[in-house]
Amino acid sequence: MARSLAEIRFYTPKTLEEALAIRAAERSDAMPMAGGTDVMVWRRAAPDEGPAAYLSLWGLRELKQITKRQSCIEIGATATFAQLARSPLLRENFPALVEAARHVGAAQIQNRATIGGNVVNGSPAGDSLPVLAVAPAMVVLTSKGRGTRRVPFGAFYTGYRQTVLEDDELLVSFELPLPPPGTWSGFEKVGSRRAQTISKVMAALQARLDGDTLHGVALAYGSVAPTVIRLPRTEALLEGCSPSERLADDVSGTLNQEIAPIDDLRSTAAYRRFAAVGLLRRLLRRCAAAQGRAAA
Amino acid sequence: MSVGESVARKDGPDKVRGLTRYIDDHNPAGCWFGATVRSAIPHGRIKNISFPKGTRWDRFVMATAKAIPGRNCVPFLTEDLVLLADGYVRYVNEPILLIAGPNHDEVERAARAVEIDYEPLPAILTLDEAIAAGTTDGCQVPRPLHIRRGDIEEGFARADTIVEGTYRVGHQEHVYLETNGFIAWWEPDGRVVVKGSMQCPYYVQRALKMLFALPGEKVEVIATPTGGAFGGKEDFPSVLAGHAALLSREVGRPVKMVYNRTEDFTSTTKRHPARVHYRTGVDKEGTFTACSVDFVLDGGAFITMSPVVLSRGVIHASGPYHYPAIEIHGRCYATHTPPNGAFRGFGVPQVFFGIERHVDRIAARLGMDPVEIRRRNLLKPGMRTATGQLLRDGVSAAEVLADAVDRSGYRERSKRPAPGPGEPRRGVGLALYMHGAGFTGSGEARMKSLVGMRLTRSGRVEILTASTDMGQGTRTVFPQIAARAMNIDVDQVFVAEPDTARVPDSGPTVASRTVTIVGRVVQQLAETLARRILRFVAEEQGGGPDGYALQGTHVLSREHGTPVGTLADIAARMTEASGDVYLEQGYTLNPDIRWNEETHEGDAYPVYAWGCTVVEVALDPDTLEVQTTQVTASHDIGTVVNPVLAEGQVEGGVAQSIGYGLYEEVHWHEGRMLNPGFTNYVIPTSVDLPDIDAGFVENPFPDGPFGAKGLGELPIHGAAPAIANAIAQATGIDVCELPVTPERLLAASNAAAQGARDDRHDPASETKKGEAT
Ligand SMILES: Cc1cc2nc3c(=O)[nH]c(=O)nc-3n(C[C@H](O)[C@H](O)[C@H](O)COP(=O)(O)OP(=O)(O)OC[C@H]3O[C@@H](n4cnc5c(N)ncnc54)[C@H](O)[C@@H]3O)c2cc1C
Repeated sequence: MARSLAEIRFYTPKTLEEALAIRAAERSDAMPMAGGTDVMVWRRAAPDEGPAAYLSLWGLRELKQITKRQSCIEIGATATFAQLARSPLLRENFPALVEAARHVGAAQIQNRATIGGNVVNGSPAGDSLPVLAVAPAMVVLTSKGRGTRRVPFGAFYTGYRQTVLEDDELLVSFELPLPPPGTWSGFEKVGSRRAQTISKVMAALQARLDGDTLHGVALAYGSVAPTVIRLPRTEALLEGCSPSERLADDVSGTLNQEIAPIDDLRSTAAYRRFAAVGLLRRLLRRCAAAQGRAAA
Repeated sequence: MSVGESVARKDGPDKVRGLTRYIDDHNPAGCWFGATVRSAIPHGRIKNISFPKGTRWDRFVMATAKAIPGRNCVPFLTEDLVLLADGYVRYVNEPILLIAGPNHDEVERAARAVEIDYEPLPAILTLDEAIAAGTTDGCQVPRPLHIRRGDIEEGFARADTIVEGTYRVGHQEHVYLETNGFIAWWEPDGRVVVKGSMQCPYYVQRALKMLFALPGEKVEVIATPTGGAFGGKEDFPSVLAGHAALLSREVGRPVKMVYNRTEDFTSTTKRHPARVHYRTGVDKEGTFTACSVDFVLDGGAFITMSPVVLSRGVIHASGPYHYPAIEIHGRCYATHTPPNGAFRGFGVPQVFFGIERHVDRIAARLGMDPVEIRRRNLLKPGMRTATGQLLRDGVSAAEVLADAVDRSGYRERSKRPAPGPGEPRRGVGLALYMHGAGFTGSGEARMKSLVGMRLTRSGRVEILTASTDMGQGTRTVFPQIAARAMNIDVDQVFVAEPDTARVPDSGPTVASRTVTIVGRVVQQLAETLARRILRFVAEEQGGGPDGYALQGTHVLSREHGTPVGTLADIAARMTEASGDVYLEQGYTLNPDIRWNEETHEGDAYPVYAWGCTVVEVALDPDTLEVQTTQVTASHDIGTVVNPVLAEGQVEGGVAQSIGYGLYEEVHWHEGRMLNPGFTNYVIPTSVDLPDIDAGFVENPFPDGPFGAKGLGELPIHGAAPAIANAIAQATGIDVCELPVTPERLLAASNAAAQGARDDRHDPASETKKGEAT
């Protein structure tokens, strides 16, 4: 039964410990809420079905940091996309994540929307997801009872908007392994317009440039399957090649076998297939240009 | 000299400071909230309405069609629209039952809890289905319209080439910032008062009179500041006002109903979808010899405004061109979808997409320049339009075309070098158009728009009209016109709140008529009032009225050039001497205007305004995304009363037309709108819009106030067809449907590639007159 806003309980813990205790006690009765940019939209769309309580993570300073560790960059779950876009650490090591952050909604949304919310929401159109997939990120989950566990990003989703997150757990951070020298990464998105748009297709590419050839290629797509996906066979074809826009068309056959887009309100399967190749072309063109600059 | 100056908006400071009170900012004491229970199916009978356990129904008040004391009818051009469905529904979201209670959220929840059983009937959901079926059960349609001039057979026989094409457009949502909203209450003396966001207070009054069987003096309608309308608050407010008033009558308290965005999207009117077919004969030089047009509209489930939308579309379907022979056929079909209604342009953007795309396709066919083919065929003074209207002065098709082409650098832009790999492909396109201002034919003679003007005791001039300000600037430009006519300061003049208990019926705020029609009466009244003031001064001070003049805030003696008194002092003495200084006058249509409604022959409009829009686009080869990179517009709206406001109208019109051309699309499933929100109903944001260079050509209209024509609708005609032409130029893809989304472009280019492959196997021999699309 629906509740008016006055009947909804709203927890505002100040520490992670406090938050985990509430989480353990309330389980699925209290929905975690970071920036609220997805949660509030659901509430309005289905006012009769919202949860009885929310557990706000907004006040947890410890989850907002972006820090350099020995072999990784750690990004707190409630770091906002505005924070990500401004971070010198990310600009240096994961420019693709900065690009993705700048593509989320527009300024107002970037000020509220968090990377943890984007990942737990689990929409295949979540803009940060392909970048986390190519990094590849480790997802750090914590609960009061069982402590901390690390799940590779590739194992975090079990199906369309299904994750391994348990109802006593919170996502606390992402660990992105520091890329080796010479690594290039980029993100490309196509939506219905230039801002405030949900992706029709987006892609992230990360690879090390050794001379003029690509190595350790990682390629991920969003909005072309029930979850964000890596394209291992296409990656293998790109391995050792020299980046060029023609290369995208050369691998397009395999690429199209690896994705499974659908027709929906926002686009068509045919267009998503076309644009998926187009985005790879853009990425490889940019990568080639970067390589040209590095060589010059 | 306030006409021609960019006087700051009178409503500006309050809007900027957030002090303006829109309808949702009003909360009368003891007010209840209303919600609407709507049909879940597109067509069928209502078997049963039930109120399941779990809701305290005794805490709410409900109303169905049975509660309506007068007729269950919201009258427009016909009387088919019902206020509440009575046992039978004709579209998804048709209102069936109203419910009120003291708490907004609880009322909404209760409305969702009501259960309705239906006996579904087969539904007609698209224009194509309606055309195939011929008729749509339970729905009426307006009569078809036909225009014929000249010898069509002879015209086509003379043609060297005949080009045909079919052009399609879908719904468009108005997307005003402020959704529809009303508050209604009943006074102890039996009067009903409604307040809300609207364009046409007297339309609302007419509807309430019929619904509640009341005389006009018992129905008071007050227009609150209106946050955008675009035609969407021409017809629909009469429905919502009726709902709020009916609930208030049942509850015995004020009732407020303000739609959220979803309800506004799903349940209010939109632009009519259309299909228009052109068949044009053209000789070797590129001169049109004949044209045959077939224009069909989807009116939705009720007639509402469709007859006049159809009529306007039919009249404008020939575009700004001359044809020795032309026939235009217009029909409107019904579907089991929400009634379509008024929307800026009113049937005309649909035909201009068709004609302006078609003319470019003819040019391409002949290997002619798009500017040249237009220049050769455009209307000039002394020519007759498709309705046989003899155009005298004020015809600027040639001027706006030349101006827009020059200022945009169209020539240079169309000769850009081919792009490098990965670089955007650029294209440039244009559209030429016109718009008839005011009501069609003798409509303005019938309407006789009444305007009132009062000299207040403090020497200020109050303009009383039912013309609302929905953001377009009525409250600013009327004072400019009056101030210029009287030669007084514009600060001395103000516009009264549109309240039917106080203001006369100056007609609806529609049809680009406010400045050119109502403004003309404002000018005449101001001149009369000035003469009256000067006569009074002459009687007081001696000499004739010609010895005095108004200036700024004073009356001067002409001889000495010195003030003889302030307007304030003189007004005080005038009111003392003769009571309220109030004048009222109606509009007189130029008697030379002749119109035959039956045959659609004659002078369709007192005047046309003209425009040309040039758009440059950049098309991304990797994704087929189209970005508009430059828009240059040229419009002849006669005298420009307020340049900043006029540019604002052009920029807004262009933006809305870019939306129509590239982004805006209503998705339906079984009669239900699938994208009733900003996530999936895509309008351009500020970063999607280019620089818009809005220039004007001023070709004054002798019967307009200081030469002004109409402006509001004109600028929405150009960008969409110009974009389609630019994309066709850049890609060679034959764009015939809006919006031109990347998905549609891909499908069209795949189809063309497929067609080219098929042709290779089966080379169709080109005949002189063979082309079909
Ligand atoms: C106007 C608008 C535009 C948008 N544009 C984009 C866009 O361009 N690209 C895009 O990807 N998204 C977009 N979004 C969606 C949304 O902003 C993102 O998904 C955002 O990252 C969600 O983050 P949040 O902090 O607001 O999540 P919330 O709404 O707070 O939460 C989302 C989900 O994650 C869970 N959750 C959040 N944090 C945690 C945690 N630390 N541990 C466990 N569970 C958690 C919540 O319980 C909830 O289920 C847009 C949204 C709006 C309203």
